Amino acid sequence: MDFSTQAIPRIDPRRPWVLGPSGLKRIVLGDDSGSRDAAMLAHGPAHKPLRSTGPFSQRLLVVAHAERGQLDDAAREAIAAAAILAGKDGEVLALLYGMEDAAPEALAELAVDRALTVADPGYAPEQKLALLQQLLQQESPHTVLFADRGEDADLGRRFVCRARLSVVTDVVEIAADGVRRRQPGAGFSVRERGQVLLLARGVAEAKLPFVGKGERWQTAMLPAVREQVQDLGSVASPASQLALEEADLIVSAGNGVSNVPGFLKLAEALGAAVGASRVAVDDGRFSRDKQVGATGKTVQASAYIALGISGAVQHLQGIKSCRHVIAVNLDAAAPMIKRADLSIIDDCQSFISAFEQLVRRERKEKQQ
Amino acid sequence: MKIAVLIAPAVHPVSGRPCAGEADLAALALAQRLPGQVEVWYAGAADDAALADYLARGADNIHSLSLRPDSDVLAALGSALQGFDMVLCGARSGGGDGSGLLPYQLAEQLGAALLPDVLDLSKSDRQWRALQALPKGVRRTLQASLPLVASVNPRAATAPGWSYARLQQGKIQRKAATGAALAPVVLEPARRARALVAASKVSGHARMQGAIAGGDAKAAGVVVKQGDSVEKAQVVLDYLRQHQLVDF
Ligand SMILES: Cc1cc2nc3c(=O)[nH]c(=O)nc-3n(C[C@H](O)[C@H](O)[C@H](O)COP(=O)(O)OP(=O)(O)OC[C@H]3O[C@@H](n4cnc5c(N)ncnc54)[C@H](O)[C@@H]3O)c2cc1C
Repeated sequence: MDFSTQAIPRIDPRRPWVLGPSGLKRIVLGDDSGSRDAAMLAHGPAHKPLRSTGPFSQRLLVVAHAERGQLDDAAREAIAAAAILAGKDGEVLALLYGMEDAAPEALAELAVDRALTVADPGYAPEQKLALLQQLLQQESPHTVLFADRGEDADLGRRFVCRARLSVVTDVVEIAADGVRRRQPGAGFSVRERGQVLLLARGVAEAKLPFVGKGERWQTAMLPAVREQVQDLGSVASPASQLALEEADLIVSAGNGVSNVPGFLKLAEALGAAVGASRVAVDDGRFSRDKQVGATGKTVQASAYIALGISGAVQHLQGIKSCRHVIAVNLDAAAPMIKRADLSIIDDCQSFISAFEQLVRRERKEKQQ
Repeated sequence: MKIAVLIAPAVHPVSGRPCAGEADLAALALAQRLPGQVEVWYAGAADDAALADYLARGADNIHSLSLRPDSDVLAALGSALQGFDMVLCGARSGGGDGSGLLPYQLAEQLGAALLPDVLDLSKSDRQWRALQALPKGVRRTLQASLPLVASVNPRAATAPGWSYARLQQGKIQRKAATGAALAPVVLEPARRARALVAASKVSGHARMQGAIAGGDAKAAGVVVKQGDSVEKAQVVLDYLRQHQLVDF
């Protein structure tokens, strides 16, 4: 057959396109205006819509303490819960301690509409209470939410007792008919929604399809109120002396670490607690109490340095709540690399000795 | 100095029977280490058998304020504890409600300083120092003057072992008391809790994209391949310093 004579319907692969209102590429047949670029904008980071443009007639307040300038998952969930509960005419206010450097975009990404950021004064419950009381009067939020853990739980409990508000603690579910908390031995107990809710983990999905306005109020000063209790300072014992579950910095060895004494020297130099994968433990290189993962320990460290660990799901389960994961592995396709915030593709043995020397040198310089 | 220790029966995790709570026992043992006269108090609807464990583990005399079930213990305890210098209790009662609010409410009502999650108490001059347990192994020292309310960490002290002789010798003194009725709660059988999820109007394509890329908030991490080990070690140290994860 002679194809050259036949009119073959050919489709131009570079047909011009325009961006539709939904952010997707639209091709208008026969039209020759529009972009011819191969770059597909719709596949870039999607722009999230604003949750609500206002005007707002009611407000919800979330109070959270940031650690090292960042909110943890529990606090994010509390803000997400407020944003979901707020509705079109509800404004999400946030009183954030220790986030005075946060960019407006970061606040918007958290779905906060208006944030009051205050430098964290450390231990100052009376001052924080006084500020909260002021806010309660000025803004009269219909609900105040705290994450029920750590400092937020403490401040929340102080607040309800001082301001005499109704409260439900350890809330695991917020529904239209009330809030639920676990009742030991009896499933759930359902209560009316209190003015203050202290939220357990998992109450809301922290990933939101919208952003907030991210406006910043003025950075407020804490009212000068005398503290009843004096803070004489705190000490953090070095991570190496702590139980794995309590440690803030962990170096963990997997099957890729063959020089165990060198690895232990690194842990000592860093002042980090020692963890291990199951393979390394089964091999007898580490004792069983060092095992991290589904059948070992679940750790909460801020930083987890995984050396020569492939990142099997059973291991990743144990480090779910670690904020910063650093992986060192020869294999750039290992699952641990996908989980890690920083990955180094290198041989463990040479990395460990180089890192140990660096840490020792820098520590010495700091001391001088 | 008069010290009150508050106790409440906990639910045994395996048998479901009432037993002594870890944190309450620690509070009792810590109080007995302090110089002062210790009284053990309970308010609520539990019967004597539920409190017997505390007798066997070191409490020789329990003052029990008997209330009707589902009534608030705060008013009764508040008036009973008026003259005490120090009130110690477990951070959370081990069973039933366990909202962890009681120490806060009591401190407010008694006008006392509140010391949460205490590991140790010691006297210095006319003030008291408390070692407070914070997450990630941080210990904070707080100083307050009497009266004070402290909730005690379960690891603060170990109560003596269970002893039949102590159980026989111990006494429970009952006194009737009244309290405001608590708001009624409805019990539901256990199931999985449903999280609040925002209604999403994004296209299917964007959802798929989110599923592979692992969301937007957490961008994929940085992968460093170039350089020798020394340079890579420097990258890791820079990262740790940037996020203030090391102190040097
Ligand atoms: C029921 C069950 C429960 C389990 N529970 C747990 C648990 O609690 N905890 C746990 O950890 N595991 C658990 N496992 C085991 C888990 O599935 C994996 O087998 C294990 O985590 C793998 O350990 P690994 O990453 O150290 O070893 P490997 O899978 O052998 O990975 C070694 C990694 O090191 C890298 N490597 C090798 N040499 C070097 C080098 N010189 N330099 C740098 N990198 C190198 C390799 O590229 C590889 O990625 C469980 C398994 C089952 C079935």
